[in-house]
Amino acid sequence: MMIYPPRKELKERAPARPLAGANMRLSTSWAGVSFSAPTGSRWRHPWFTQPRWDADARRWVATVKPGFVNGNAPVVQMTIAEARAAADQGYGKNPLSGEDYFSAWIFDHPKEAFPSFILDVPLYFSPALPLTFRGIGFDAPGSAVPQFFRDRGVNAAPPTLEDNLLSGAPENLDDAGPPKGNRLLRAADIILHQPRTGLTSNVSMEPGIVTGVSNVTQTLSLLSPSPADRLKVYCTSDFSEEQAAASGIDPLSGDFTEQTFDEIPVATVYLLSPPNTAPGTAPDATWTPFVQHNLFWDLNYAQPAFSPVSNTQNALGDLLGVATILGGGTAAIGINFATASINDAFQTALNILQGNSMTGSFWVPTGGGSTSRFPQTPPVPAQGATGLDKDGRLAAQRAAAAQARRSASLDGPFPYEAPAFPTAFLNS
Amino acid sequence: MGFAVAASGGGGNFQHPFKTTFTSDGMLFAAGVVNGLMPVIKVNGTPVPIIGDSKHAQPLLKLDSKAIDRATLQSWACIEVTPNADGSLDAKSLIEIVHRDSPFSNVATVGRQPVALILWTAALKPGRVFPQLWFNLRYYRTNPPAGGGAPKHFFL
Repeated sequence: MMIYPPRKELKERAPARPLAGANMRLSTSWAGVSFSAPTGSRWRHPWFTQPRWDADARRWVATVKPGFVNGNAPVVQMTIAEARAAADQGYGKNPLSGEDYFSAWIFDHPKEAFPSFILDVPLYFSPALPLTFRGIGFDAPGSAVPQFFRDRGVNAAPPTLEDNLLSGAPENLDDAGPPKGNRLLRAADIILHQPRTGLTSNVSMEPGIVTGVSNVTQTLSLLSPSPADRLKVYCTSDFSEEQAAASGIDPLSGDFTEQTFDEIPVATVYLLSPPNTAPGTAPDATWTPFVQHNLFWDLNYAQPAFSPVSNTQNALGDLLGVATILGGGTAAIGINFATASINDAFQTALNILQGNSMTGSFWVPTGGGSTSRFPQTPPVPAQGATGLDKDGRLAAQRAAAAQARRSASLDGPFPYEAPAFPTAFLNS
Repeated sequence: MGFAVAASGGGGNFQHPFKTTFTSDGMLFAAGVVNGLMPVIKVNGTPVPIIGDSKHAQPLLKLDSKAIDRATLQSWACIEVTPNADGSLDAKSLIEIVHRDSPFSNVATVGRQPVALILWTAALKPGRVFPQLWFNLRYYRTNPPAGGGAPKHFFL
């Protein structure tokens, strides 16, 4: 807060009349003059996720501050019955809009007639997303516990009998119980789902002129997403980008169909139990939520163009020819190559499919060109951490470490991070 | 005169390029650049930089209820870029903030980047605004494909 002109000069001026400066409200009453400074709400980035306990439904839900992809808001899909139940529970005022939750026009549908009808509720109407959790830690063998939660009392699962047998360690039944003060951990992933065109291929083989060599024809064509598929946000208990990317591709059976969507995690919601919670307990209102965000800014999204296979793919096999086919009104590319075995044929087909993948990319327009890594805030040395006073130095370091633990967040410092622009698009 | 007391604006004010201010008549935009060039808003056909200049006050983007998507009651304030024939931008290129019913351009020579989403009420009055752009922009246009087709416009 500033007072100007300085007090020294003020004394020379009389009478002094109070004025409202920038961002200050002045009110006068018989008791005197009061100034009100705005406290200001904390700015929250797009995709900011806020979990809360829904006491009526007895489950954890989350709202996501609207983020946008190419200017469009993702939706949360819910049935009319779910939307009505949410409205009846009365979530109170939405702090973003100042209006009641679920009071927007989009919820005004004939609820009685089609209770199972799916509503696409845009994120800017603050729909509540039910969360489904997976276990991490002591009661979830095989899961890795992030260091952030190890520091807060979450222990890894004890080794199983198989682990002990493999490692040769003797089994100690006395240690099978949870450690004192043990806390449990649950996690739920919130995912952004972007429909897109996928690539599919049909592989056929015929005997070639040379004995033992087959002529293979692979036809690449485009596969549209389902008309009902939407740019949406949903929750899953177990998300894996690698697993999602590989779905639909089975080289053993010659099935090479890309998925017709791209997905990127928005955030992971963690729930931390009170100490000494019994293993296997379902989370309730006593658990503490933590959120680790993956997205912080509005996104742009694009897909590569569907173009004829380049000659460089000769290296993948003996490429005999490339032809553009128009079948059923859909563009397709026919590729001929020769191979000696069916395994080689499928591997070549898979390589061609992956080399021409229609997988899209998300990025944040930061003006930074190909990189979107922001400079990190430089670390500030603890006060008293230097000098000849060794005890004071150590105490200051301990206090700084304790403060750092208290204020630790799963998210990095502002201005966070952003997916970088894929420079490969500039060559298309 | 007396004395004045001032305070910081609070944590809710994140100053960023192209920050929008919503008024009853339209929208104002904070300074922001595309390839180092400041967009304009046309006022009676005259292009005026979004922060104004020595001859003009800061221009207002008028929100026309005819330029909204009636199905979703949405419209967008967008930066539209019309590059030179070779795809470059310079002081002669048109970089304009406009009000549109879609965040996508269907004109091959024009690139469009949404700046803010405007939600309209059922009475066709602008209700809420959601900012969608937080940084200055760099623009790049690919060359049209050899076999014909439209170039791609990227805002990075």
